Amino acid sequence: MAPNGLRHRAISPLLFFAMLVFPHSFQRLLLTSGEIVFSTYNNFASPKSTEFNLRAFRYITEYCGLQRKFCFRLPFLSQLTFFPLNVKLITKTIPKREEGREPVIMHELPVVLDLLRVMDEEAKKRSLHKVSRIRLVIGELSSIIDESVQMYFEIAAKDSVCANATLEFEHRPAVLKCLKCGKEFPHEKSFSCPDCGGDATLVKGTGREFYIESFDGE
Amino acid sequence: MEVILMKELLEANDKLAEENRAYFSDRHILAVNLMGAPGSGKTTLISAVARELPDLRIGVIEGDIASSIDAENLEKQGIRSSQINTCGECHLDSHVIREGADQLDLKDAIVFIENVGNLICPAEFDLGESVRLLAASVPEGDDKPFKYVPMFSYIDAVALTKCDLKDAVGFDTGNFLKGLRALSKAPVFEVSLKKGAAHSGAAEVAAYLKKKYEEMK
Repeated sequence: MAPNGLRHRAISPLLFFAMLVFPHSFQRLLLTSGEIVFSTYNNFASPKSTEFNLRAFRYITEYCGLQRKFCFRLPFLSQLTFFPLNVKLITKTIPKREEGREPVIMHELPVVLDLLRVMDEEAKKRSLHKVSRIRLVIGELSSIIDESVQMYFEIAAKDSVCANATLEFEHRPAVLKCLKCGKEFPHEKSFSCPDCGGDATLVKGTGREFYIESFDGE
Repeated sequence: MEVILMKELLEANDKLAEENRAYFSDRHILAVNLMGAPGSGKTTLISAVARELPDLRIGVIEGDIASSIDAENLEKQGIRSSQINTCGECHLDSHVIREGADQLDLKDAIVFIENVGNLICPAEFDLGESVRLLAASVPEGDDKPFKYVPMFSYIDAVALTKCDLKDAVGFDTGNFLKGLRALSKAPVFEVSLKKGAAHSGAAEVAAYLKKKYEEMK
């Protein structure tokens, strides 16, 4: 069991009791931190502790009179854990909620957090202390937007091994195959074959790419 | 140094989606991811299909960014529902599905996962469903398959809703099918759920889903 996991497991029950004893202080922490409270960067927690944490989180949000919506603020992440360091990290990266404004988080944020987690693991594996360039491949049929990824990345990567790294985006089009002449062509504007004008069909799997192709590090 | 990685992102969602898939399979539940633009008739379709399947247990996991209007509506009609509010997140993803499914607590059933009204983002997020059903409404226009390629290439079946409005909006069914066929072999069920419509088409959708449910055994 990695050290991270041990620390996380020890803290969770303590935090749980702290929240029971000082619900209002914690409520203040949750509110001042904006909308994101619980996050995770590691997958070291066992399914059992995750289950426990999720139940505790549900209980606490009800006890403190907080709305359940906090539960789903970052639904994309693989686990919800109580991890004080992560709470601090996230509060630094997400701007405080303005009075009266509902914050909207694009789904590129969880993607970026996942990207940073992967880069962290991969850099550690190779004993790299700095990542300077990351190449991402995004298919045309993906709903992930470069600019949103860039925006969240610039904020979230600040204290990580990827700080100041350049993101490069390579786009892959969906590929269509003409039913008449068999020509394969990238989807641009039309579904019709550029050679013979015939009807075409989508080549399954194309345009759906979304992966980290490579990165530069030292 | 350059490191070639080729590592998929969105792995977290996909991993959870597989867990959901196993969860549904263990409980013999046919999970239907019902997607469509806002107002395309998703909730109405669920009510109509449920009425056509009185012998089957039906549950609904309702996804909306806010309010519980749909879940309450369905509950009033005797359809067991659980509401999920995403608070701004434009689609449902795997993590919240499990919550909703636990609340429903069903076995041997068809569970509709009514996704957030959105013709774009839900096509990116596998929820662990068995069937991807799109509610495409006639007033949206016959050119949608050409414009929303990710969604129309993602789905298994299309319920073309509000067919009674075809003349009113000048809907060219041929053009719609042309666009769809380039992307998918999905069957199209023409549906009109307006009160008093002669033939609603809901029975065909119900039969399709019932067949899928029985094929699960």
